[in-house]
Amino acid sequence: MTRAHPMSTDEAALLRRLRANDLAAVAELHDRYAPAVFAYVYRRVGEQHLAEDLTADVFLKALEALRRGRFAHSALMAWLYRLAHNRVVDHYRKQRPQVTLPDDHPATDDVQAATQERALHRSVRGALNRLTDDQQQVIALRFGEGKTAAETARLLQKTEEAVWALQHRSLAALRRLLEGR
Amino acid sequence: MNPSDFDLALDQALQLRASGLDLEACLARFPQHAQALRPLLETADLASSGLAAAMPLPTPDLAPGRARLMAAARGGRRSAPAPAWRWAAAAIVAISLVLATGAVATRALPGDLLYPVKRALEDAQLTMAPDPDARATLRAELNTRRQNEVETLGTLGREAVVAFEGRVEDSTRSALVVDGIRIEGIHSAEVGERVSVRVRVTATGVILEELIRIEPPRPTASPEPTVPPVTRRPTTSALPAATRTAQPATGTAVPTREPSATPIPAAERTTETPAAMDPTAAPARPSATLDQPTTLPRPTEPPTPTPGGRRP
Repeated sequence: MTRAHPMSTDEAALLRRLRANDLAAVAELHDRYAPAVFAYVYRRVGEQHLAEDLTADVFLKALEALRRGRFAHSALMAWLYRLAHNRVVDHYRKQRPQVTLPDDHPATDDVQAATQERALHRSVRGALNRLTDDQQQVIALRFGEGKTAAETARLLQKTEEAVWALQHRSLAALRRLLEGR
Repeated sequence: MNPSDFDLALDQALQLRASGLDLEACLARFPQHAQALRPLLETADLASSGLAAAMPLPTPDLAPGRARLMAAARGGRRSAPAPAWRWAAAAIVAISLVLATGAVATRALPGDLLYPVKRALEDAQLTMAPDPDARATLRAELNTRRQNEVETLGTLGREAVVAFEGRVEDSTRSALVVDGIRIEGIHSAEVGERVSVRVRVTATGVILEELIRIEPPRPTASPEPTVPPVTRRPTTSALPAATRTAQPATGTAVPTREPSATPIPAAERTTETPAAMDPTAAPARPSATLDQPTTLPRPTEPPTPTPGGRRP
């Protein structure tokens, strides 16, 4: 059984510095992980400025959690993905019910194609948001971030076998939602 | 968890699709699962298109978020709730400070800022002494400390008033020596007598008698004194000899030159002389009216003072 890798020495050292309120470590945390967090969030929300704001929120949340000693993960990136996922879910919860609405505006071919593409994005994101947390994350990481099952397992702190089963259930649930069932 | 054959086949098919293999070619690799795999692989394609369609990623402006984070981090360094070890460290620092203050205070001399701290610590020590013997030993130690203070003050030429107890080792008409400390002043104490004295150390290092009390002989059988002590004001050579003569131990106050002087009530005369005569004693003490050095005039004609403390 494949288990998630323990935290690297580098990450452990960074975490120690973060817990000691080392300002340079806080800056390093942001510089090292913010681009990946932004990419994850952007693919979930599809808007740059919103993704930037949510990314900033993720790091503020991380800082607050570190101060309270609430860091329980074995990998910083996995933890940040989890925080990012939570922030996205929270965002969509407040944004309801504007998800998965089709675009009915008549348009030219190019504009129509772009509109359909945007509609597809919204549909997928809308359906994704209705999955369970684990299902959302496995779909987002496997098909949004292009992570392998092994990488996803490490980020979700699960075994690779668990990810195989999870992605099966996630894809089945997503299909049902996209078909309107 | 044991993966099912289908879960394994799905993951392998997804990998093949991710590597660019055609859907039909991919399904052909898994003929036994093809029917079940098709809708899942199509959904995976939709998910990839739907999520990754936001690609290419824009270049994000992460600087404002970073600035917010750093501001919060800096603020937190000032206001973050202190963990337990930090409280412990603060307690250690506070205790160290108290101990250090106490250590410094033990070297304080009368007139120093920390001298009251020193005396308060001594009082606390006396209070906490486990038994009368320990208290008596400590009291003797503290008395020696007072004598040392007198000597140090004399050496430094610092003015102060100190009370202590001792045995008269030498006695002349104008001075006496108590435990090696030469005290200038007219007195009636005799060699061998135990006295409590309050002295004023002058800027020139001369030790002048302000108040002297002859203690009754210490009983050997009973700790209670049977003879009340006698307190006498210092007199000067300008006064008639009769007034400078020690009065019998009648228990009444000796007349002094200053009209405002308060006679010592008999009840206030105790053998706890150093404390009772102590110029640093709290005003609430019974003998406070006598112990205020400011109410006592200095001798107007000190008899040929000799600077210094204990005799060589």
